[in-house]
Amino acid sequence: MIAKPHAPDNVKTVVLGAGDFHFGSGHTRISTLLGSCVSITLWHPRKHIGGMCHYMMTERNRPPDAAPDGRYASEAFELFLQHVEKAGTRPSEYQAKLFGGANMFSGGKSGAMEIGSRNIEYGRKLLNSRNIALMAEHVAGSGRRKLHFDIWSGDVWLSFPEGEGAEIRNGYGG
Amino acid sequence: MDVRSALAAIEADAARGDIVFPTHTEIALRVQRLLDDPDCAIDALGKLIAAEPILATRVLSIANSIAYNPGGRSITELKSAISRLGFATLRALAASIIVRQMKEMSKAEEHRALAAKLWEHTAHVAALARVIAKRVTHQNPDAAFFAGIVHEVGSFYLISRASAFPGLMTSDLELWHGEGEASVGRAVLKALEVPAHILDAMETLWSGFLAMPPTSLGDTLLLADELSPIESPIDALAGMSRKEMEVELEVLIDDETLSSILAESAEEVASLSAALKG
Repeated sequence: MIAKPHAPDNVKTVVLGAGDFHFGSGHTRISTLLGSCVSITLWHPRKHIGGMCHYMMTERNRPPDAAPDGRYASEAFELFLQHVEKAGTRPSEYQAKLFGGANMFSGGKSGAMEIGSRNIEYGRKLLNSRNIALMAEHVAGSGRRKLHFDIWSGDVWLSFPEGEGAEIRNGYGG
Repeated sequence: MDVRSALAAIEADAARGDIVFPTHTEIALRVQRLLDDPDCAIDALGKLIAAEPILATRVLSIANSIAYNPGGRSITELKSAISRLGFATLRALAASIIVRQMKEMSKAEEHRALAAKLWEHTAHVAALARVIAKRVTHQNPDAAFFAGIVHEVGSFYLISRASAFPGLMTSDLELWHGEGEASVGRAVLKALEVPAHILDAMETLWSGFLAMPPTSLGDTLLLADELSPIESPIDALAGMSRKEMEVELEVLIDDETLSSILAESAEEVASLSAALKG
């Protein structure tokens, strides 16, 4: 049996699909599978709270009064900011990590090929706009990334086993 | 080619524990055992190493590499080289002789070429792992060097057995990755009497989960494996090649970035991997 990242017994796992968002505390592990989508994790090193988004595109023409939609980077970030404020904290107190943005359409349409890199660049800009330190990033390349974020410790575990053209074995995201 | 049955047979053979290393690796194994002896004397060690020309040459070339000799003071005497390297590095070098000889175990020319490429990859990973341990993850650099040297033993064993299964090494080896490689790797490492903390690091490598930022010995190995400019040829057979699309990997370590540390250490990594390959 190959060891998986260790977790305490009473861990609650939240699986994020494309467009999902979760913010919380305690023994929660947030997991996702990324292709050209991007996930940002935010973690507060003193309060041990944080969250993760999984966005597919950068932004949209948002209809008036529409609730934030986590499929878009700008709105997923808005969800972050809402939770950060609700927790009585400030964005700059958090540590960020950025993942995904792979090129999933190698040899295909050039527009589609740029989705990953646009998502990465947009994520970096959003973090920079609020002075959030980007502690680590593992982005671009080709293939799927499996990600686990342990809110109790701030640890992020990344598996990047599949190369170009590999099949998705247990996909739950984009 | 029934890849599943062939890999199952290879795994079963390895699990039985009847792994035979080439006869001329006997001295390297004896060196490892002597290093385990708390009363191990440099004189005895020097004599034993001198009896194995490949190991003796490797000890001198590593001792004179930039990684171990930043001041550029060249050594030609084996005893001084042993003192400079220390017992932990010697253990890694003895293991490197055994792993290196495993690539000669194949009879077919194409398998020997695959094994030679795998050794090139191994040398890069070992050299990178040592630097990453020292500057990034703050692990024991000698342990990381050792782990890098043995990290592909499962695949070396696979190649050495491949001639019994014609067509295996030109098949899709996706099945090999994960449990197959881990189960054979564990058996070979047991035969090599590898210490427990190295085995733990190997388990992390086989699990494939890298902590971001990387911290453990296992993370050191995973990171070195991912950053190596020479890919494992077995990864390519498993459809896992990442050559075409470069990954952007960045981590903040104190006030430095991973990429700046690697750029500063490029010469050290190159000297060490060249000394190991040569």
